[in-house]
Amino acid sequence: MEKVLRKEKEHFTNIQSNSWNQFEKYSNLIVRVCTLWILFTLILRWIQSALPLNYYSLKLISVKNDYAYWLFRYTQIDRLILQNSTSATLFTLSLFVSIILLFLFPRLWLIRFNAFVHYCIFAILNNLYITHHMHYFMLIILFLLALLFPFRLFSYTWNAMRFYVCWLYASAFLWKVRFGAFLDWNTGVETVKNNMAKWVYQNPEHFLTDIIHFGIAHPFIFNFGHKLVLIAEGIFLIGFFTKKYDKLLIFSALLIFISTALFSDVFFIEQLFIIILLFLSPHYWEKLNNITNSIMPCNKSKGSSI
Amino acid sequence: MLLISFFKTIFKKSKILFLGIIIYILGITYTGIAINQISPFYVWGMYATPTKSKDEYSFTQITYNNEIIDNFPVYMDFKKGFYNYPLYTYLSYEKLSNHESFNKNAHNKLGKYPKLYERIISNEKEWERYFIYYKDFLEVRLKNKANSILIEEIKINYQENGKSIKKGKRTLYEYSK
Repeated sequence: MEKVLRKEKEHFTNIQSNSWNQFEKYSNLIVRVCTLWILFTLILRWIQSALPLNYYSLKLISVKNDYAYWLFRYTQIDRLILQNSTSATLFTLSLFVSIILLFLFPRLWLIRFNAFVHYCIFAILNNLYITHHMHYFMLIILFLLALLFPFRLFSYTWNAMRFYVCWLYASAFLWKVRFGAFLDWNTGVETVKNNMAKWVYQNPEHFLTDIIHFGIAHPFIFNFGHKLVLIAEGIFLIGFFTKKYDKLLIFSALLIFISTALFSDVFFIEQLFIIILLFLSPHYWEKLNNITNSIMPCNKSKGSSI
Repeated sequence: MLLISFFKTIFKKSKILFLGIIIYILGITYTGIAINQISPFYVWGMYATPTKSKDEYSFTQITYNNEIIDNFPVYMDFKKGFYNYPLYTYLSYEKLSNHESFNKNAHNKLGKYPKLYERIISNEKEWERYFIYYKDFLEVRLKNKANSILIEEIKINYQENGKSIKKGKRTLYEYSK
């Protein structure tokens, strides 16, 4: 008994000494929270009739230049799934089941692989049939891709994902510097004029329309706000050097999300929540772990109960 | 630096994960330089080029059985995408007025292999039937037979006081029973 306790103590000492492994204790919990989020976004899509069971009558596709999409078309998986409403409904059901199974058995590799394949097919199908490369799914795909590595490495892959999000925003910032949007003062107001044209036309009495009208009449507001948002993207470069300012990065992600939702008509809610989770310190996961353990008690040496 | 410390730890801990991350970094470096996204090596260059001032700002509007059906709040983005994006794609197809130009990259790379080319992209005849498909698509989505459909491209501009003013419109498709 003493031997077991000593081993356990050594194990936890190792965890503490290795900061990159600090999420290991919460790996089940983190995967399940993310999986619940994926399920939630799928339900949101269900409510908005935006799941494969609603795709089947649209026949035109646009593959753009993404060779992965070309390969996907070559396999004709899309035609197989969307050949009729029954096959489309079956695939949608299978997608839900794959995510629910991931919630129940996050440690089984086949279950993780199954969820990854299902979600990839779903994302590519969606983008092919709306003829537009929506980036909203991408972080979930990368999360599921990271789960294909052995589960004992979860804490490392989770940290790698955190770095990836730093790259996501930092590269968005660097691209804008390289291609000129950052240095072009009027891009802010022009983006609002362009992206919100339909909204202001169709909703002339809405209070958001009044705000947009005011901002367009006083372009400094949108231009300055645009530069602030770009700086919020650039701030993610700090994430490569330290974790000390992760709360600031969460705030930046929220600022970018809210401003683009209100003034650019872009709503990347699927990504946002995962981004926030990636920048949470183990302290918050410990708190959540305690809450879940109090609801569903378990052997504490095994970590979280959910 | 935090990133270097991470790589050192990963290298010691798991060669597979280290290799996986290196392959991924090489992938995003290639797609970044080529400015051509290949999933899952994503390029996050949205709105990177300056947005220039225009004389007109255009968008599409769908009136189905005398009711405007594509006025969605931002949180209905998923639904909105199904109505709007295919129409925007059609407009860019129409602007290029050439099937080859629209699928330039696919045509350059796969033009020599017509069977493969047709397997991957929608062919010209399918694009010609675009609004026939779109009508079917609307009927299925709205679970309601169409008595009338009007799809327009509306053009607006903004006045000094920031308010929008209609500049014109163009009918893209009209159907009545």
